[in-house]
Amino acid sequence: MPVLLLLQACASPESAPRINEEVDFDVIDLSGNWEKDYQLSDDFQTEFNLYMFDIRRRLTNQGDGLNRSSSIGIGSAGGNMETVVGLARFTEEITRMPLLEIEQDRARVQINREDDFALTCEFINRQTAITQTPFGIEQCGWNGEQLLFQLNLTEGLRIFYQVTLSPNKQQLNITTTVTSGQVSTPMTISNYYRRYDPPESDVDCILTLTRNNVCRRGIH
Amino acid sequence: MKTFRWTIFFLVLVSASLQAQDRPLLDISIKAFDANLPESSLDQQQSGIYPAVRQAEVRYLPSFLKLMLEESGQWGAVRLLPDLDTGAELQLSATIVSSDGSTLELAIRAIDASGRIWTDKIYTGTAVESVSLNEPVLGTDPFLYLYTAITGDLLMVYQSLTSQDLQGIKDIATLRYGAALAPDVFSPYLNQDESGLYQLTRFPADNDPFLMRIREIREHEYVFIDVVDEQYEDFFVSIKPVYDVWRRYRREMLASEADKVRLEQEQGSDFRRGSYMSLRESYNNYRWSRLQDQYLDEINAGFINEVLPTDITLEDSLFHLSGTLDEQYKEWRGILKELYMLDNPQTP
Repeated sequence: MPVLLLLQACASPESAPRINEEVDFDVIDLSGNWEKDYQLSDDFQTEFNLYMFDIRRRLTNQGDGLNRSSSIGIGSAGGNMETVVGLARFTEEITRMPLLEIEQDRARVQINREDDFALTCEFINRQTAITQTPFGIEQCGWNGEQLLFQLNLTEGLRIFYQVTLSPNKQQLNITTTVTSGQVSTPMTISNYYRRYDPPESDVDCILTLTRNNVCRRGIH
Repeated sequence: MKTFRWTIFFLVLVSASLQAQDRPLLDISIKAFDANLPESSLDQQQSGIYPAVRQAEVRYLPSFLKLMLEESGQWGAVRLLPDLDTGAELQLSATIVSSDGSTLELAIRAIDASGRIWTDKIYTGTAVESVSLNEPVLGTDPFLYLYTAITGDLLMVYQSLTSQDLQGIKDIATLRYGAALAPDVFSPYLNQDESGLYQLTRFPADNDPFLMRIREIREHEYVFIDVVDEQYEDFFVSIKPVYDVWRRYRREMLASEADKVRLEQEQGSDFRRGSYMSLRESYNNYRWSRLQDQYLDEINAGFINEVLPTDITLEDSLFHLSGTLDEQYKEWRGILKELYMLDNPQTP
């Protein structure tokens, strides 16, 4: 299924790839049930320490570093301690996602996440699909074999997801980069997922409006 | 509901007074509404249009209008058809400009057989909950006032016409129907002026064999139309409860979204910019709006699950009756024309 895309990065986080080149490729099938591989995924505490180290290093590189930073030890390269820790805590929260169910057809991919909204991308005949609500704008599209989502929300909050399937199609990586208007250094968390088979139900249900769920025993 | 009853009562009173004057009643032909559906799914999504719902509305909305017109007792036969009726005394057609459960906009055009335009404008209505809630009867609708405005406008034009005008419309309708089947025979009876209005040059004698044949064929066509009409009515009755629930959900969602946006704009954030709570609030607001979208998708799926079997049944019964309705209706007209030619080989 060749798709020609011209993806435009809108002020992408610095660690995110630029995605404004034309690419011709077959859409990767991400569909299936995925569970988080905790062994391969980033450990949040380690990443947080590295993140804080990175911020301090940047400050040092700025020359006037810590001496001119605020009383809580973080300067203009980061933000104040409250906002830096707040960004990290928030990033940890939205990157938990222990289980994913991905549905995909020729025109659309939907990543269903537990206790959160589904990331949905309609990509047929599209360059960058845009979804807008009163509270933010969501852009998505393919960059080669990567599926990208960028959420621009209020308060300068920006979340960037890169979804990549391994060559043997058994592993999925979701790298999440979060920036806010108050902290210039983005925080990135990389999670790995492996396929799993959910238990089969012998009851098929469909939603109706006047009778709620109508179920029947399936034939197996 | 009270208002609805008063409206009907008023219409019945008016009807009674007019009928007392022995004025000719006009038949109304309603064409199934134009869906006004954007071609691309993306445009549909951006316009908040769900194709399955819109396709159902194409039949549902005119069915309710038909019911209102019938209830008024003001008109002759009111028929719902898949296409324009060449022999219509009063032809009503509409495009669904917008319909989101909360607001309904219909571009309505009503034109009589003589070419006189009765109404040609956009009617807009806002849902009135008290009319629709807990009222399982067919004669209620959240947009009752919109339909009342349409029927009221039609009634005003009707009242402004003399009995002679009305009889003229009926005669022209018969002759235009005849002219569609046998133009050489019936066209000379009609004159169309520069503005497109038809006028009678004369009317054939009541025992004119061509006229009698045309009337007979028209009666045959009514049999076909009435069966189609019955199928539309069954569809309307079947989907009304589901469509009502869908619209109510939709209205509630739109209202809660508007409330949330208003609150956010008025109150703003209580948290320090960039703090964890501030980021969380920003994300949760967006999350809420996306979950609302997904909930709407689910409701739409529920609508499809429940209405689709009825829709298929309708199409299936119409198929057995006539094949794909739009095409076969035209084919039926063709058959009538051939029958006419066979029966009247001397037709020039």
